[in-house]
Amino acid sequence: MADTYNKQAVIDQAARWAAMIDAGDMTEGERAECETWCAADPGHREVLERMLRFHDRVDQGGAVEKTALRKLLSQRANARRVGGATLLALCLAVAGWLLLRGQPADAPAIAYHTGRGEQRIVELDDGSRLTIDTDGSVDVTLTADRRRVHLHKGQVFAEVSKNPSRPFIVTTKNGSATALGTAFAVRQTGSASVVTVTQSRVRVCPGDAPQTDTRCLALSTGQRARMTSAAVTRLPDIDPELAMLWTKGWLEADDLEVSAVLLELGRYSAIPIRFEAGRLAGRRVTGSYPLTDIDRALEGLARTADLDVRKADSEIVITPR
Amino acid sequence: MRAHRPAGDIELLYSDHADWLRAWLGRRTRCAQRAADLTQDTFCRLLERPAQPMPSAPRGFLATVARRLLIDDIRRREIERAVRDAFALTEGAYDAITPERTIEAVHLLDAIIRLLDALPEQARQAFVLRRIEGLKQDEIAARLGISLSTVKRHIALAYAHCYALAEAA
Repeated sequence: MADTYNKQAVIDQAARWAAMIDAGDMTEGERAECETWCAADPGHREVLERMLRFHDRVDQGGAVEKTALRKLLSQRANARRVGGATLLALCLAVAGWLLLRGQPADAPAIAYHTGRGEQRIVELDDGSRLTIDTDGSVDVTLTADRRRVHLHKGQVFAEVSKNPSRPFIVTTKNGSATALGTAFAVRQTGSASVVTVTQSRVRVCPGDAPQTDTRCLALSTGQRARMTSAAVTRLPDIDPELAMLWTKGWLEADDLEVSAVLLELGRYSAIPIRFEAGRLAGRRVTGSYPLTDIDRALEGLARTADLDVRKADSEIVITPR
Repeated sequence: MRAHRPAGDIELLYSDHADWLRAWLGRRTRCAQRAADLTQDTFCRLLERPAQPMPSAPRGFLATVARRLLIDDIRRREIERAVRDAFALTEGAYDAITPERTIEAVHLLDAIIRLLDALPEQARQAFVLRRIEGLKQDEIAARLGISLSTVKRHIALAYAHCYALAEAA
């Protein structure tokens, strides 16, 4: 281990010299000290020279590299909330103004439904895409100045095509989630809705509250919030990739309670899945289960968690083995 | 000297789960070719790992390794797209587009992005202002409202991380 330790110490010292050289304000004394350090061991000089070389390469990057990098950084900053504050303020101002302009001319709403175990992808005319999860129901209204999706039940994942002058709003009985160009999911449960942002930013407001209401929250990538008609509360963050696995037909359990997995699979099952949560308490599983083939999912789950699956005409009964 | 995982274990993992992993990646990439490539990469990655007991949930384990590779792959594609766009936007650069030139730019940007991801927020800002925007260290101190010695510490951190990344590559 002494070897590793020394190496890190050399790297740290070389980095300090490199930063001083980069500042261009070294005194004669410091320069001499640096030279002594470099001369003390051939490895020292090599580490320092390699460090300076990488940064020289960055400095010499042409206009193309710099343009590309600025673009990449701004994309990432949006996702990361760095320096995105001004952009957000602008977006909200535009969205707020559009909302204040009053109701647009009535446009017909188009209704989409899914059955149990069914997922449906709907390509909207504006280039956005909706994935409607099992047992769901939405109304879509596209007008010249806004795009509105009302979620009656189930879950919807919206991949919103960018259009700053036409906000995209998903409403539920509990509130609204507004975006200009992003991807996010809204799920309706009994008494509340849950909004999960998988890309960029979404503004979440309770009930009929306008965008400017202080109870609204801005969510960015990986953030989730629970929305009721009175309030919006943050939930623990989630890996955005995991959050949207259901759109690909998979339920990914990462050390989950068996009963939580069964509850989720039950939403996709044509016939109800029965189990006593108390008897399964403490059993946890990790694995991927196909939402499109509940029989196979239950088979796999039964194998890992040691369960019995009994199929009757009108229900599936799960018991510990 | 690292002990390597016995190849027999990997062979078993491969014969049992390679098709599943390819399908899993296929759903995520929506491209059979990329899925096949990433499946190969995943198993190659496992062969390079030091010996470890066989995972109890092999698919979850494979998916974790594959997801990491997929994220790297997506980042590289993002960078490639940005480089192509930048070539298109830069006047007079059209003639300069050669495959070698593109690959070189992608490599450099990939290294920079990985470095930035590894740095704490303020150090990242300092690095970008210094290297990309070309500000001097004392100008960065004024811009960020921090002392010159803090800027120096941030820049040193960037040098150290960058060296570590170059070593690991």
